[in-house]
Amino acid sequence: MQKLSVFGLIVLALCLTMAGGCSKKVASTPGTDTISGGGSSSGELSAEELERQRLAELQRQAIAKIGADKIYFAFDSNELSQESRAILTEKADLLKSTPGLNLLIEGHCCDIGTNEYNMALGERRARAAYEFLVLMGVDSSKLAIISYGEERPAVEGSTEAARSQNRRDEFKASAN
Amino acid sequence: MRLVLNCLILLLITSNATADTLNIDIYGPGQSRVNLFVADPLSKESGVSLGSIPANAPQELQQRIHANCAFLPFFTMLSGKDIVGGPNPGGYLGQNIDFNKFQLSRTDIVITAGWLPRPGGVGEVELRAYEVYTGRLIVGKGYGVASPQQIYEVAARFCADLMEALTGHGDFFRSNIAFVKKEGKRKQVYMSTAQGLNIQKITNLDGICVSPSWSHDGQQLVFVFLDDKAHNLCVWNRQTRELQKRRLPGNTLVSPAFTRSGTVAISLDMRGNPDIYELRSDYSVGRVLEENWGIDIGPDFDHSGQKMVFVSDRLGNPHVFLKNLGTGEVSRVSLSGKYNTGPSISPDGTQVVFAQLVQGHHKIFSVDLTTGQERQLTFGPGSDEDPTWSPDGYFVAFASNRSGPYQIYLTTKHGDEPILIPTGPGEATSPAWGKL
Repeated sequence: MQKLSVFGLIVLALCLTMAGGCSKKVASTPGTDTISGGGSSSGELSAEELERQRLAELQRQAIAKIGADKIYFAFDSNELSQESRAILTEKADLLKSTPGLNLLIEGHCCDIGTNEYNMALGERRARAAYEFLVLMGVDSSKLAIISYGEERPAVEGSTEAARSQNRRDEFKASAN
Repeated sequence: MRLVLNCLILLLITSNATADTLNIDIYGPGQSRVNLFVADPLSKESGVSLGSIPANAPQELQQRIHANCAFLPFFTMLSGKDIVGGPNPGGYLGQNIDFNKFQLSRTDIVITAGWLPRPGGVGEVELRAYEVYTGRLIVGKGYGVASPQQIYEVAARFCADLMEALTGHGDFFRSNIAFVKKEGKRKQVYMSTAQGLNIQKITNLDGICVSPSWSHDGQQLVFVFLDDKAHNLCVWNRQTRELQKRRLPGNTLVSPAFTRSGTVAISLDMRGNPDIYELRSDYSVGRVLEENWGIDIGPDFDHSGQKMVFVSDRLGNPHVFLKNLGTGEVSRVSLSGKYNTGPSISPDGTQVVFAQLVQGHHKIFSVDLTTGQERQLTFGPGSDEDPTWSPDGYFVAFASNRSGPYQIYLTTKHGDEPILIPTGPGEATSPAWGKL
């Protein structure tokens, strides 16, 4: 079984390096869809299963990439900077090219300002990213937003360095 | 009301205030101060020692009364060392008290306690407050104390009566405060008396509770609960201790508050922008109370239910506004500063307090709605946030990190020196004042 997994991963990696063309190839050559699992009768993978694994790997990579980059804001602002727009454009491309993904956009604030106003400001920050992604063609039904205000800081502390890290949107993608 | 005390005897009821008697105008501009001495307890019968009363109750009660009165900024608390000739009053009844030495010590009011043991309980106590210069009895009450746990309640009742006799209002000792306490990554709702006694944990939820607010009758508490996926509206019933949790339309729920009629007002973003709505009794979304292109949050209502204060960034920065719900007219309340949030309107609808960002820290400001005059109530280090009026419109509680972690403090409409309300270890924020 372990052997099979290693073999399966090698095949998947090969497929992924072929940048999307792999799925068509797999579908068009059914004879190669089944892989011998070292003599084990239960170790055969159907084309469907291979496709499922390929998609899962694509999703895993997209989820990691979408979650890796946060976007940051100025104090009491929900304006998207040029850098933020570039990051969001990448996320939009990933969301559009990777089927079966949902995205939760979290809006956060620094500890300046009061909790309740920051809850509303966090909503605005999350919504700014949401609206940008929708403008970039992402299906809005895949998107959700939540504000945590100043309740979940990324960095503890009241220095400007900490605060600038806390005025942010975080992106939590998940598979359907 | 779970009344556990037996009021034994009503001694001489508070005298009516007359021109020549001591009374304190806590609302007027020139708040006077009086010197108060809480005398050591005495036995009512010469052959009976106070030591026969369990749990050190007589001393505990006097200490509690002393601590309670120390919350009132119009009292200067005297100690035994301040009394010329020693602190023993000579007796717990007016005819036995040596008022002369208290006069010499510039004492204005002296409080005495006379105790007797009580079979099957702690004891019976008569508490009296005398005006030293006239010897007049201001308040006299008797209580049966069944258990040591009732000590704080006896103290609260007596202090409420004393405050009411002197100022016309005793609600400070009859009211409670809800607040949020940080516990690791979670935040839970707690409540205690306004003196930080009888602390009770209300929630034990896996997430973050924010923005508690009491109903006007003090029987329901509303707040927002944030879990890993969504905001939820929570309503806690004090009588049944039941907690209802509901999802509402939109993504973000901000600053719920009870209206005068008992419905909940809350800011929802269901149209893509936080606006203030009134929920129906089944918590479905009802009428719009305030909407605008900007952020509209933080509703709070006066006792008449006609005045609603709220925060809006419609002018570019967050400011406090007032809406007359009868006419629909909206006017700006905070005139200075660039960041004014967290408003609370006094029950009589004449004063608004809020937090203003001053040089990177929040300070509590008040605005007199009649004159429009704005003044800063708190100073010093750290940030002072989330002000909330007491039911009598005299005290203002707020959260502050002036001494380190956030704790709850108390000042007054005059901006008296803030006093810590002890709420135990851990950060405490978001005070909400309700009735007991």
